Parts: sequence; structure tokens; C-alpha cells
Amino acid sequence: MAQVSLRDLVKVYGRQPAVRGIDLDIQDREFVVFVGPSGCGKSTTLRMIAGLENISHGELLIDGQMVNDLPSRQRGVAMVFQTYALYPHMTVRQNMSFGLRLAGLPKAEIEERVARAVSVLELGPYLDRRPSQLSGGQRQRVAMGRAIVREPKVFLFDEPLSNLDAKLRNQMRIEIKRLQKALNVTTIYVTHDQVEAMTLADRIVVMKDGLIAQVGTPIELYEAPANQFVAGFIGAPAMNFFAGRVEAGEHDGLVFRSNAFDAVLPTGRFARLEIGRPVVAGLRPDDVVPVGHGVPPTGGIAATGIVILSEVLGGESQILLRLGEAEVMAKMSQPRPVESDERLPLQLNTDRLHLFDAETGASLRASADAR
Amino acid sequence: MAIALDRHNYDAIARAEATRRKGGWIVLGVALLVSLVWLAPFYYLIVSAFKSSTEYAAGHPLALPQGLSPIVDNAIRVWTDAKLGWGLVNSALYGLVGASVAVFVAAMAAFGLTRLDFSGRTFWFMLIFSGTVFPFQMYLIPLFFTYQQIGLLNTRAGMILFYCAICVPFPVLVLRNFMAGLNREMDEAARMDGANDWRVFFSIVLPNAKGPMLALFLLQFTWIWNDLLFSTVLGNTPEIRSVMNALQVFQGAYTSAGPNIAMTGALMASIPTVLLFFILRRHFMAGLSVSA
Ligand SMILES: Nc1ncnc2c1ncn2[C@@H]1O[C@H](COP(=O)(O)OP(=O)(O)OP(=O)(O)O)[C@@H](O)[C@H]1O
Ligand SMILES: [Mg+2]
Repeated sequence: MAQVSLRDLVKVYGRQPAVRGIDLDIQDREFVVFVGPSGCGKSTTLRMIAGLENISHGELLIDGQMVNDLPSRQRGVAMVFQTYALYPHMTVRQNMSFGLRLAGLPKAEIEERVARAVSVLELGPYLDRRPSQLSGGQRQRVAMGRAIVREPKVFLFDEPLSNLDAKLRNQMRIEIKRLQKALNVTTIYVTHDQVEAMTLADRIVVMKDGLIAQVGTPIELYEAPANQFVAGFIGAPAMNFFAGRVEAGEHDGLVFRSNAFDAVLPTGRFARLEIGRPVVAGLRPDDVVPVGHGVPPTGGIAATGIVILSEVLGGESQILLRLGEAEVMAKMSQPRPVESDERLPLQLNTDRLHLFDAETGASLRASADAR
Repeated sequence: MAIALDRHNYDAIARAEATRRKGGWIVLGVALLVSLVWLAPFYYLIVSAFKSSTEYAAGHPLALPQGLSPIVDNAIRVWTDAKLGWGLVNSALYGLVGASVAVFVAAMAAFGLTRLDFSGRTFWFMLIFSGTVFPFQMYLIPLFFTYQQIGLLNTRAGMILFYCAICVPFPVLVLRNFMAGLNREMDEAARMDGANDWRVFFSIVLPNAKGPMLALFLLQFTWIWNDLLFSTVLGNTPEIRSVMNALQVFQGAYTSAGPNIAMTGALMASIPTVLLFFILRRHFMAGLSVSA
């Protein structure tokens, strides 16, 4: 049970910064997921928390205590690695009890803790096997067991599911979530799979180039991305972007004009809009609705797209369309087959339009809404 | 619903596959020929060991022996005259201590070179590595004079010290590569489990390096056992002579004894390394495949 605070955390390798200054407060029992593109510094941040990497600058606090210079064994953290990092020459039982034996715990207690973890993770039949005699999912569970038995204050996971196949990954994802709920331990989890991030996290931290791009609940990130990067990163298929500008419309209103479509901007949704300002508009594929498929948006505008290609997923189709001079991805629920070059009537849900500054990429949403 | 598993006659397919693999009689023939050439000296050694001196002198050197019993006399002769017993004890001592200490030290060095963060890592590695670059013979004369001055010449301690040192660089080279390939997350996990550097080395890295270490031990042991040059120069008194040196001295001193007795001695001297190889062969092969 612990709070973790990162204060202006920096990591430089040689002269190369990998993490450029991260501020974050993680609450007790919170499940925080770090996502971001490859090389953005997720693992480095996690490894600084773990004590595997020196902290170049800034402070790391666990329960209010500065732990920068504490070795990892004294920080009360346990980690599950991407490669599982089991000890190949030890049995499952020995793998799980290694840390406890080093800590000099009484034998009875070690056995009790291992037994508890084993029953939670259903590892009973494998206790005397070596890691090489286990399947990927079983190894994963042993790695988690090794972390659990230490009864840490903070769990750290670095892409723990990336070596598993899709089906097992879903299964283990649920298992991790359940485990965290049951054990009630503060958890920091690194992934670049956004499904994992969305489903597991209480809060998601999106990182880019060694900095935090946005922190928020999954819904916040999806509904109110703070910048174009987060808007494009969260959500699959990715948000459609249209370059254009803000212009004066009827009744003192504002319109967004682009080579794809023009739309009246809903009042109150945006702030800091100026006439003539170059902006980038964002519209999620869910908000490009082929007429007759799915819930038609109440507001919005009608348009016609020309089908470029479609990807059939069964429950829905993802359709790449030409809209004006731009390309746009649409989601068709209850799909029907479509042909290339077919003209598809669309309803664009422009009530849910996002606008970003063309230069900085910052969201132009009114702050009460963007929170 | 049953799924038809026997769409084909898989036995027939397997047999056809096997016959396609065979063939290659020419390759087999060449291989056989090469082995014959390679085995000829062994044949000579074995047949000679079973001949008495008169029998050896009378017949063709490659002729088959008339009986098996002469080997006992030969063995007793070489054992007493060459002090082979002492030689075996000495060589075993040098080989076991020298090779184990060297491989263990090399493992520690390799661990440091791959796992610990200290300045000049590359420099230290190159320094050790240079030990494998120069021919060993280069060390002979300076070593002789130094040993003479500090009184290590013709002592067991001197011999052991030399073998320990000379056998370090090559294992460092091999083990450094091996350990660099060991999953780093494994020792990071151990560190998070509360292990310090020593614990990581002994409990995590060492057990996983067992294969290559055993293979290296065997190689270095054999090298020490077979070494003639250094053992002749640095340790040439009857009590501390290695078995190879003892055999050489015997051959020089008892020219009348004949090759059959020397061959018996050679046969006896090679038994321990062969035995060791058989005992450790499983690990040896595993170690080879790992380092390859
Ligand atoms: N030991 C190191 N020495 C030098 N640079 C490093 C080292 N480790 C990481 N880096 C650099 O730091 C940056 C961040 O790396 P990090 O491993 O944290 O990325 P990541 O977000 O975890 O990426 P991925 O999703 O690919 O795992 C990268 O540019 C990487 O090249
Ligand atoms: Mg990473």
C-alpha cells in the first residue's frame, strides 16, 4: 500500500536524455499504465522506480520517503519483466522463494507465502518443474508469483504480456486486473498496447520523447485528448485529422473549413479560437457514420465519401474513404459489403469534433470540458 | 465429428524421406579413410604396449602382439623406473588446481566485465585478452629467471601458480561472450529479490554458466596435463615432475628399454584425461553447443 511520487525525474545516458523531467503522483492502490511509442522512455522511467537505473535528476518518493539512493530491495517494489526473467536452474518453488530466502524469512513463513501465491495463480501442479518445462502463460504466472510472495508496496510490470499470443494475452490481462483488485497493491504497468492500457488502467500516462503528453482516466484521454499526439495515439483505428482554418460563419458563429468538409463549430466547446487561425480538426472513425449503420448522430453534417478500401472485421468494417480531397477512416457497424469507388453517404458527428493548434498541436477545447 | 487423421500413409512417407537422406556413400568412404589415417598412431601405440621388448625388436612395428600379458611387465617397469606414480600425482595436482582456479577466476572476471559498471572495462578486457594473443613460449625465459630469483623454480607452488595464471585469459574470452548473452533481466530480477553482486554471481550467473565452465575446465586440464615445455623448464626435479616430463626423462635415460615400454607409459598417462572426458562428456557437449 503506497503512494509513489515522481518529481521532475530525469535520466540521461551519456549526454543523451531518455527521460526529460516527469512529474506524477500515483495514489495508493492505483493502477497506472504508461503508454507511448517505442523509445519514449517508459521502461527507463519504470526502471528508475525499480532501482535498476540511477536517477540522474529529480526525486522519487514512496510513501513520502525519498528513495533515490535506496537499493531496490529496500524500496518495497517487485517487478515482472517482459522476458519473465525466471531463474532457469531453479524450480518454480525455488524461483518464487529465492527473494524470501535471501531476506532470511523463517522457513514456515516462506512456505506459507508461496502456498498462498500458488493457490491464487493455480500453479500447484508445476511447483517442482523448471521454467523450461512450462508454457509461456505458466512462466508468466510464475513471474507474477515471484513478485507477489514478496508482498511489495508497489508492483511494476514492463510489457509483461508482449511475449504471449493474442488469446493468452487477453486471458492474462484479465488475470492481472483481478489480481490487482484482490491484492490492492499500487501498480505501475508499461505497455505499448493501447487495449491493455485502456482496459487495465485507473489512469493512463501517455509519454512522448521522454515527457508526459497527458495523464488521465481512459475516458478522459479518449474524449478530451490534450493534444494532437494523444488524440492520434489513443483509439484504434486512429483519429482522422484534417488541416484547415477557422472562419467567420453566420450569426456570429465560427466555421471550420478544410478541403474535406466545412462544419459549424459548436459554441462553448472550444476556447481561444481566432478567425483565420490555421488549425487541425480531429474526428474519430466512430464519428464518421455511414448512413443506415449504427446510431445516427443527432447533430452533425451530411457528406458523401468514395470507398477506397474496406477491412471486414466481422462485427464491424473499417472503411477508408475519400472525402473531398482528404482520406478518412470510418467505422461501419452491422456491416454490409461495399465496393471500391462506391459512393457512401455519411453523417459526420461534428458535435464531437476536436480542434488542435496547427503549430503546437495543443487542444483548443474549452478547459472546463478538456479537464 | 471425427477428423480423418490418416489422409496419407505417413509410414511410407517417412521411409521415403529416410532413403532420400541416406545416399552419400562417397562421403562415408572419405570419412572412413580419414579416420583410418587418424587412427593409425593409436593402433601403433596399442599394439606396442602389448609387446615385450624382444618381441618388439623381432617383429614388424605394426604387427599384432602375440599375447596380452607383456603389458603388465611393461607397466611395472615404467612405473618404477620413470616414477610414473609421482608424475601422475603431480600432473593431477597441477591440472586440477590450475584449471579450476583459472576457470573460476576467469568466471569472476567475465562477470565483472559484463555485469559491473567500472571505468576502463574495455581496457581491462583487452589487457587480459592480450594474454591469448602472444605465443606462450615468449614467457618461458623471463619466467625461468624470475622463478630462479624468487625461489619458485622446481617447486610445486611455482608450477601451480604458473598454470593458474596462464590458463586464465582464454576462459575469460569465452565466458565473457557467454555471460554477455545471459538474460540481463534475470540478474536484475535477482537484484530486486535482494541479491548483491556476490549473490548474483554465485546463485544466478555461475549455475547457468556451468556448461561452458566445465568444458573450459576440461580443455585447460588437458592442456596442463599435456604440457611438456613449461614443466620441463620450471619443474625438473624427480619429486615435482609432471607425468609427461617424467616420461620424457625416462625415454632419455633408459634408451635400452625400447619403445614398447615408453608406449605403455604413454597409454597410462593418457588414461586420466580420457576418463575425465567420459565423466564430464555430457556437460562438455552441452557447454560446446552453448558457446557455439
Ligand atoms: N542503456 C542505455 N544506454 C543508452 N541509451 C539508452 C539505454 N537504455 C535506453 N536508452 C535510450 O533511452 C530511450 C528510452 O528508452 P526506453 O527503453 O525507456 O524506451 P521505451 O519507451 O521502453 O520503448 P519500448 O516501447 O521500445 O520498450 C531510447 O531512446 C533508448 O535508445
Ligand atoms: Mg521498454
